[in-house]
Amino acid sequence: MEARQAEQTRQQVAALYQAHALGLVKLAVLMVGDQRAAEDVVQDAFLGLYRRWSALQDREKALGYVRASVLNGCRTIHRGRYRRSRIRLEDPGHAESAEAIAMLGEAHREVLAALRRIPDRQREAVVLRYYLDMTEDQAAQAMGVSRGTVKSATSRGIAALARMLKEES
Amino acid sequence: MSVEDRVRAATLARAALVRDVRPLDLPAIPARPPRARRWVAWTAPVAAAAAVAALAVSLAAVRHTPKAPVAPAAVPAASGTLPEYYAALDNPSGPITQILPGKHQTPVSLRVGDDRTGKLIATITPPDGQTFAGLTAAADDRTFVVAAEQFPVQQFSPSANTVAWYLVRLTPGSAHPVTLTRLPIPGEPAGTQVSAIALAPDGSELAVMSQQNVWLPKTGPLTISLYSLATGTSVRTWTVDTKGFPAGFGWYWGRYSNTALTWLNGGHTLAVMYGINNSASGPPFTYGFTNVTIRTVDANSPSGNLLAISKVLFRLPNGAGRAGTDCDTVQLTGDGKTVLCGEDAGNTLKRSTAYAPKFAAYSVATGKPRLLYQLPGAYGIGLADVLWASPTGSTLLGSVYTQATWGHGPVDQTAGLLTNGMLKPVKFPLTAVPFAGEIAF
Repeated sequence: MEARQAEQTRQQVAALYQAHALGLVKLAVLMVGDQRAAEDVVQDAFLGLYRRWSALQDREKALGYVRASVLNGCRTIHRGRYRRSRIRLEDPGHAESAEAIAMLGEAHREVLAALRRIPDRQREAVVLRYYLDMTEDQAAQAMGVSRGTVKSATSRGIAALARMLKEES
Repeated sequence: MSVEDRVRAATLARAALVRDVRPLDLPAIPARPPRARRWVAWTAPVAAAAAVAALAVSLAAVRHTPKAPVAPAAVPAASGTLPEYYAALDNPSGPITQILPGKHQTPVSLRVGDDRTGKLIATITPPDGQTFAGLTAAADDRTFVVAAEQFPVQQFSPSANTVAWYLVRLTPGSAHPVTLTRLPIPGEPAGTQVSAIALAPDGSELAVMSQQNVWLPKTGPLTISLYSLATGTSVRTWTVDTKGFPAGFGWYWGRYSNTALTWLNGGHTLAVMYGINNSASGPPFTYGFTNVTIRTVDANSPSGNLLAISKVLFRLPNGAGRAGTDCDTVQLTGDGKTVLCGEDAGNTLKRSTAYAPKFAAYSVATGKPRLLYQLPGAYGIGLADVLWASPTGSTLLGSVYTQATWGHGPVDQTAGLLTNGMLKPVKFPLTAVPFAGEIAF
């Protein structure tokens, strides 16, 4: 019986992964800039879901749980990169693969580079609002913050991006 | 361009570069069944197809904004909702069932849309000399397989054979949101009718139910084959000797049903629904199917006689007023517990005006039917089609077709979501309301 339940859980989590992994990796790529790292973050999030599945009260909220885990994972990667960059003097903005960089136009590259230089919370708010077209309420739920925080983070993020893009033009 | 617009454009462009992700590597569990499907298997056809003729479809880039809080097909969706994306067959000249040899013909195109927004994402016309004829979907709400036949149609429908299979992939928000790639799966021999198709939940294999020389002397056995999308090879073939009678089950000519084959248990088991038509001399096909039976077979079972290696899950009762079942379309739900039936509630052949389309649900455990919905009124023709059902059957997309008197007067057809005894109309941007087998989610 236990084995059957475990298999059922595996299938349910695998089905969720099949349905949402691509979208979540895209989201994570925008946060961390690198597909391999993004896939790691998403895999970790689903592994976390798999382990916690039996404790999950409301399965309808599974996607929200995974999305929040992905955002958390991206923050962790950024913190790690920041620490490494201080030691190795690496530019965290160079996480993009060469292929991806080549396929994007100059204008898009500037925006993405600027996006990676703003603080985590601002980046999350901007991406959730303008890439996923989430409402402020939806973004607040995904980030685990208040609507007001989303509003101010978005506003500050856009202002910072505007400054950076103006400076570069 | 504002900063917000630049952010939108840049993030969409970057996200569009991510086309595939590696499979989920969950820890193994002790009692894992032998058939271990890997998600990577349904990404493999894209690479494999590079070796065959790949058809890049030029599509107008329709900006589609990804939405986060939705639950596609494979996820236990909230009752009353459809998966977000669909693919449907569309004939610019009217219902695809009206394509007949000797009459003006227009090739059937494929339309891919978002039913949450009502927007059409892309229209794909078939390659020259072909027309689309059937379709089926994987569980990810993004992957479809489409069958194509020769165009113009030269022969009466049951004799037209599949000449090519295509993989349709949907990448919402990208510059080319829909791609069409020819699969290495071979076409069917001339005279072979494909009566049902079903793409495995992970998109790795295509189940095809077919029969050679239907309605002709020397009708072959009913054949169920599993094809690998990656290699195009037939990995399993099971047959049923039908004693020379046509067999299968599906609306209209009995072709390309996407509900007569159902993958269960995460793709480990295939449910096969068929009846044998030993009373009718020709199409329409569904009338006269007797003893329609659903059998389940382990997808790992070796090739051979289906009857020897499968188990009977359910037998549809024969109708009271005619030979065969009253159900025009039947769908076993993904949990294997319910059989959904779209009925015409009577014997349409008697040209009475006392019929009304209705939907019923049979419990697999008890065999007892439960009326889900009946269209008010009485009609000369009243048909009900099951187009899609959620894994538990709690949500059903159906279409009802009525004509006041047999062959006379206007025809009324509506597609709708059936929940709590109500049919809530759903409109698709198609030339005609789809029949069963003409739309997939």
